[in-house]
Amino acid sequence: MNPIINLRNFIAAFVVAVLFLIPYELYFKYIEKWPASYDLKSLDMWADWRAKVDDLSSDDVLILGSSRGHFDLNIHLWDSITGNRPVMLAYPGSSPLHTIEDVIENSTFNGLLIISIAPGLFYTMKGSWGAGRGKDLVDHYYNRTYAQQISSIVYKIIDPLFSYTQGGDLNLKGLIERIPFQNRDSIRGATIWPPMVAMDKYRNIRMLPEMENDSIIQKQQTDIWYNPNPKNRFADSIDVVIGHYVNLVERHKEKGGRVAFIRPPVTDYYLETETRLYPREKYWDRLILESSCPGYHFQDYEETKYMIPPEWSHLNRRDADAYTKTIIQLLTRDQLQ
Amino acid sequence: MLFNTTGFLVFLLVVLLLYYIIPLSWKQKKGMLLLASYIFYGLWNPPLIILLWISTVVDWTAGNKMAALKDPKKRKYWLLLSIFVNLGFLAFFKYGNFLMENFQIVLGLIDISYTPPKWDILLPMGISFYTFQTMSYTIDLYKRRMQPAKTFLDFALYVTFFPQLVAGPIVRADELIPQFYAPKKATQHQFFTGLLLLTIGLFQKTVFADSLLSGVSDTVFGAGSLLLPLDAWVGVLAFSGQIFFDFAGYSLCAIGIAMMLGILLPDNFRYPYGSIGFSEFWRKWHISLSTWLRDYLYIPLGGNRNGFTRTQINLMLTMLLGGLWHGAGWTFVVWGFLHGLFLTVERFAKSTFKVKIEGVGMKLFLAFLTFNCINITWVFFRADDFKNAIDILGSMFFIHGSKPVLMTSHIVLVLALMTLVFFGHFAMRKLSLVSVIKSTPKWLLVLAWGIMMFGLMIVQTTGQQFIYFQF
Repeated sequence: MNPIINLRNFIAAFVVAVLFLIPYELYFKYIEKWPASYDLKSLDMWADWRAKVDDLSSDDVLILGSSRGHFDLNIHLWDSITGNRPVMLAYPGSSPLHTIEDVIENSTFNGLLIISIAPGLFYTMKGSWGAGRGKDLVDHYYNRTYAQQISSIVYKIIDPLFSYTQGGDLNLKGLIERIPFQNRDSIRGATIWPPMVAMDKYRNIRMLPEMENDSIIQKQQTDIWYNPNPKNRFADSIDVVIGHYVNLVERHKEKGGRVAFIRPPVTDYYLETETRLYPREKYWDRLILESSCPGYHFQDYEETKYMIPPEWSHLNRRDADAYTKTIIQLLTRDQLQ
Repeated sequence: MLFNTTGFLVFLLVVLLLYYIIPLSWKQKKGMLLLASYIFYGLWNPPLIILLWISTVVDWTAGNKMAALKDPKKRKYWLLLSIFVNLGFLAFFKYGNFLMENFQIVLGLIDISYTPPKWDILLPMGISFYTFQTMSYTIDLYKRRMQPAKTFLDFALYVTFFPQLVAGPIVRADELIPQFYAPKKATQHQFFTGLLLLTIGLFQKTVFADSLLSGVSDTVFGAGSLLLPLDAWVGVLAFSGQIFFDFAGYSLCAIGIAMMLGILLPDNFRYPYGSIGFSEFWRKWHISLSTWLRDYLYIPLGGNRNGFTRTQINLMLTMLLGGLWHGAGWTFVVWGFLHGLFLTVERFAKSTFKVKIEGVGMKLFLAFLTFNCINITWVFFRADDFKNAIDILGSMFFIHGSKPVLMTSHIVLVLALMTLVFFGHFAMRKLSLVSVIKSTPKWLLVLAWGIMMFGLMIVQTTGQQFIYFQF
């Protein structure tokens, strides 16, 4: 036996790795239908776009919020209509509490701030799960090292080439949790997310055709959204929450900025529970009144009130485009843009 | 910079390109390696390079003075200056808040109320490693065990050599500096063995430590309540595996990268979880630290030269300080104490019962006993505070625990992996990794290497920090 390790051994090992990788990638691409896309949950991509905020002018638009604001507004279409592409800083599963604070208090931005509201995440106290996710974004932006930034640049080259590189959903840790062992009664199994959207380098999102058309995938997603016992965990503190947002909005206006709130379409379970847990008059109407900002609620407009998100919460591509156009028309009408 | 990031792969490629492809003189190559090492460190937090420079300049000057001077008093002053600067950095940056908190507690005991300001001190990455490494240089020169480095460049590169700068192995000056004197170029075998070691190290870190084990130990230690014994044991086993794969993985990466440059670093781990007894464990776990503590603390304290009791006191002091070296907290001191206690008990048992350990069954039993005692000590190492540690120990030993927290897949995987680790370490306890690689059939080696590369391609961790960076 030759004990020498040489270039040929390395190449052979690399070939072995590639031979394993090819079916692995093909499985996620063609069987599970994951797109070759940028990682939706990438903190680095959020931080890269946050870094551009100081360079924006008063004519520019910045979008904050959670996944509904992220998925339902097409910033490329916006660009083609207005000649100005908004910066997309909405992030799935997050409350914009900390990100709004950060943009208003720590940046020179004085343009149009569009804040998208998903009630369960927006009416959030500090320390809650959704707010924590927003805080992670802000912390990552300020604390990331030069080494992390270099890694992010390299990773962004690789990430959109493959389907299996979809961050938390398909990493090894996540795949291990998929192993179908019977859990003990009080232990909840892993949530297996179906592929829903694809994201490009501008953080623009498009829903996948499979999610738009395949009722089995839609059911997989609605099963994840469904919570048999939803609660409004922030009811007692609504005065504090709205007061906090109103103060922030005032500060943005003092800088010469404008703010608009949007409430994107939902249906079925979300429409029922959000109407019940966050009654419009106590939450939305009050926020719009006290902040003196324009607010565009999907139920107020013929163009948007009948939109049906395929999985209750996010719009398909056609409706997202229509919704984007409607919001642009409303902003133009109100001379915010 | 972290080895387990895509940015580091690019950095390493550039360094290798400059080292092997661009026609530079050996002095220029060393200069390039030094600059690369500062970039490697500075990409984390540039201003903290200044600490490295101060340590380098002070110890270079002190070393030269001690080599040149004959007056013992003056030589001692230079040694004290070196120790004062290095330990001063360590005391301020690592133990500043800990010292103030304990000062407050002591004042409270005599009814003096004092609230110290909470300093927002950033712990410089790897400070414990490079201060110990550079102190060994001045101490060895003071003891006239070696000659000073020939040039400042050689010494600066010794202090800053990027593969082992932030988490060891803590290399002695006489092992590394002479390697910088003559041009170094890895043979093909060295280069690709180094690359294999780097692959194994990264695989250990990203696949085992980060993907399989860290989440489980975090869940158990973060549960905040008493748990079912099964969950508690699995959580502790997971941490036991995590810290081994994390740290041994880093050491392998460091050794592998250095080997790719034609520079040899010493082994830092030798299948420690198969050890029979704690003495053997400390000959196999973090070898460069345990030998450092032996040579620069235990032996100067008197070692085993002054009778059984004094030996045990020296041993305990060494282990307590070893515990404190790992972290500024009393839980780390207790971890060191437990190791000191187990070592003392083992020595006592060996000197009293003179039993010859023979037969695989007996050896396996003792190794298993050692492994589990080590697992118990890890509880204090990992726990955030004493309450956390007591909760975990209480849960492990069937006191009140009733809450399950782990998914079945995690329990099965951790138990399977750690069983393999234990038996694997036991079977290979007399071997080194390189000797195992040499004796493995080439087809199996290539297959295993390929599978590890595949693991690295699919793992997708977000560059989690190595645990030992915080030390």
